[in-house]
Amino acid sequence: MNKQENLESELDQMIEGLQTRILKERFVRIILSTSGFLTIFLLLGVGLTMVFYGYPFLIDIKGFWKILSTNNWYPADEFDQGEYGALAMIYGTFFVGIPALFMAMIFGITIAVFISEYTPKRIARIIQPIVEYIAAIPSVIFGLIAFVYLSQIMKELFNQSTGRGPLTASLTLAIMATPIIVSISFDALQSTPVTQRNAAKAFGATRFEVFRTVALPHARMSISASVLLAFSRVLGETMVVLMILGNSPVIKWNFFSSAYTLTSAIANEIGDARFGSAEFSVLFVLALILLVISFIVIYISNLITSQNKTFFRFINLLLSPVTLIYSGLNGISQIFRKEIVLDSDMIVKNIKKRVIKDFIVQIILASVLVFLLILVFSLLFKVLADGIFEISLRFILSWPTYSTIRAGEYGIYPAIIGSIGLVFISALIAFPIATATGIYLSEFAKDTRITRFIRMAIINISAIPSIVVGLFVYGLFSVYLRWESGLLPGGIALGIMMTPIIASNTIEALRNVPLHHKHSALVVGATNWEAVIKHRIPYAMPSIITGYVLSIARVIGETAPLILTAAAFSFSNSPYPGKLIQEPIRALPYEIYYNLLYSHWEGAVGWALGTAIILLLLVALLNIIAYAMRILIRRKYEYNGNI
Amino acid sequence: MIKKTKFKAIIGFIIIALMISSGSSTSTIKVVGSNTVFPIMEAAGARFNEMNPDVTVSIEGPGSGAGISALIDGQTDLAPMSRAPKNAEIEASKSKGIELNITTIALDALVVIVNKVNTINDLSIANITSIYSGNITNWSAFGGSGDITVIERDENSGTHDYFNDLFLGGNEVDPTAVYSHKQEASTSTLFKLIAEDENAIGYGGLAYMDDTVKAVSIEGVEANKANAADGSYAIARPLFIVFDEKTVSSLARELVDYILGPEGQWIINDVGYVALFEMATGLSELELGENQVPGFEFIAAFSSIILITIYKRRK
Repeated sequence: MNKQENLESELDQMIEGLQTRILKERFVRIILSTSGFLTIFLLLGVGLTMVFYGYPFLIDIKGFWKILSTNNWYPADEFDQGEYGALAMIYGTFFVGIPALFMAMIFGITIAVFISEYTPKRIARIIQPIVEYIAAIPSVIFGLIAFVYLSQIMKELFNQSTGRGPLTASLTLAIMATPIIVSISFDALQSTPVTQRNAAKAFGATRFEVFRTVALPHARMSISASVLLAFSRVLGETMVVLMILGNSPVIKWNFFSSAYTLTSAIANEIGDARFGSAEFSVLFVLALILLVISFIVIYISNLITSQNKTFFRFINLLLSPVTLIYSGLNGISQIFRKEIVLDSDMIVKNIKKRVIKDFIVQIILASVLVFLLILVFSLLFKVLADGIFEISLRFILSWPTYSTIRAGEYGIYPAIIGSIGLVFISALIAFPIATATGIYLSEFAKDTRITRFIRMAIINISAIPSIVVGLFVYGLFSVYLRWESGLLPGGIALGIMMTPIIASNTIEALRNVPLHHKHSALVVGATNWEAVIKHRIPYAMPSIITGYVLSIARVIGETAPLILTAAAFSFSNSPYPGKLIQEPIRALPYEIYYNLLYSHWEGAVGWALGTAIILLLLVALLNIIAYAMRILIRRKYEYNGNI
Repeated sequence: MIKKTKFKAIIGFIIIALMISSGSSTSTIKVVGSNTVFPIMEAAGARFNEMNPDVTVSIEGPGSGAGISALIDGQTDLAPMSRAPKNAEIEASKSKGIELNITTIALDALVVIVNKVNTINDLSIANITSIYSGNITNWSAFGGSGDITVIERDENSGTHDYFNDLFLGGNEVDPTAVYSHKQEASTSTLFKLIAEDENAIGYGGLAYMDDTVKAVSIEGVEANKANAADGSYAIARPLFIVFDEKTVSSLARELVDYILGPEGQWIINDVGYVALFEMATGLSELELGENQVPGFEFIAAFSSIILITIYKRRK
């Protein structure tokens, strides 16, 4: 009898415990899904803010059509006084972007093919992080390199009166976009099934023929998608074009004259655009146009990776430039030669010719890689050589003093503190939301329309150009809520840029953890959340933290949003900002831009170079940490087999 | 192991949070405005911060237009300007209940500059007009050679507006009419571009002038402080600081007073502009905005002459 009572009370306790556990499960699910929905709201918020402020132009279809189709750019306060033809900016965006894309395509695909098909794995593992480091270099440093060095080289090379023009900008953007193509294409080529490769090799195919017959058909879609991703990066770039292009709203077919892009127009003209004026509105319309262009590019890239058949029928019908990109290297090579057919006579057929051809292709591919690496690292070395003497303990640990006019000493301590503060606040905002979104999508969400929408929102947020993120925060927080510029608005802008990186990385990290532990936990009666927190997240944590580090490395060099939301040149006795809002701060990337704005003054370029070195070292350090963590994780998985 | 990482991360966050929050709460003066006046504000701001360590002075110099816009939107305390506010701006500020105080702080000679190898030494006002309106696109019209690259400041700039008012009758440069056209966000970059480009022409404030570029004389009169002060240089202009009379903080007003005072005026002189006491004779010939009351500046100017001599001797 007594035993029976005990058992019953135990059962009661268990049921009670079960209820609280189920409640907890529901509670967690609500929190996680809320952060998932936040990303949708964020995306909608950015779009709606642009529509809201650009409203006066958007309701008037004629006025909006005028923006798209005419080329008279004389913005004014009142709608009827100015002219708002932005065709030159749209033209300039593509005039710089398309050559950059083609250069990036040539660089990126050849390098990816070379390190995937022609080099041993050990060497590929060394080259890949080097190329990836190029992707981590902040755009303001590319702007600095283009402004100080590359434009001079181009001036001498092409014997022009000035090297600052669309061609220099395109080359710089191409270098920036190359690593995106390389890393995605490389992964795609590597994922070719080994059996297929071996089959081709057994037929006696050379390395080039293996690539053409097996690897390329397998990886073609991903390569095209990577090219489009790179394109969206090129179109949204602000700092390089702002510094190099001459910002003149003209439509010209001249690679050494000047141009204007949507991004640089926004960055350049938002300053004197008064809240509520026509100029203020039209800049948000430009941002909306840029946003739509980026989304279209990303959408096409998604369709390609998901291999949507109707889409391809449609594209083949159009035979648009996109098809050309999609064919990639394959299309170009097909113009010159017939399809390779593997047959059993392969081993003996034209053996000499084919081996020589293989060798020549190898030389060409290698020379592109060597050219790019030499170009980038000689420029970086020049930055290092010219800027290293600026750096001293004083430079890092004190702030600028001006005993007399400009005859002072420069220090970047406040800028370092400002950057740390920005990263801290953006991390505070982005880490929880983005991680929760990633966990929700990977562990809780079923494949419904809404979760697919969240996934799409994450991809689209990553495609928003940084200047548009800045404009969103500026329009909503700085102007509308009167926060002006300061740590908090700047941190929010950077946090938005971090979110998609962390979220997609969290999903990826969880995907790599074997599921059977979770399943065992579920079988013995754990709730989903208990299984996830005990048996999924701990194993994924190192990868998730790697994502945090990478996202910090990505945003610490962002400049364009800071121009609008956070940074200014300020004198203060304390490097620590006293307020979160309404007090502009200094930040490392802004300091570089600022010094280049005053580049004519003695010392300014040197200070910019010195600051750039510190920023480069910081980014390199963060990347090395992430890389080391990745290797350690990989080793753990390799040696232990299953966890 | 995982708990340890979490612990360390939290400790790290707390340390950074302490670092940020430990900053003493200071009062801030925000200055957004003219790129031409920027050197003055930079130097004066640094000195002002030295004297009042509790005050943070933050300075941005995107241009006069940006300055007055920020002032009207309530985003800045002071707006240095290199042109007088336009009627539209005055009306916009009135409608927001802002009472503009426009204080003259210095005089600038607008220099028109070319590359050092350029053979042209003198241009008339009509010549500059025809270059910037695109009627002349080659230096051969003045005895030189090469297609002219026209460089101007961007639309934020008061110098840009002043120049266009003076030479183009208030119109903008038509970028399609000239051979090659560039807009620069700062005077300093503009000077750098001209130092690099043999065929370029541009303009900017006197303070930015150095020996890497060549200033052409206008109608035979050389661009320098003396000619600007006595009124013989045709394109001299006053520089202002504009603020809201009603809401301006006492600290911001103190900064304006400091710039008008002896030390501030000495800084202006050192930066390369014409200080008020030097322009005393030429001031009457300048076109001043309607809202200006020059009386206070004269008192400050004359008293500063005496103070400056003492100050310099002590040094």
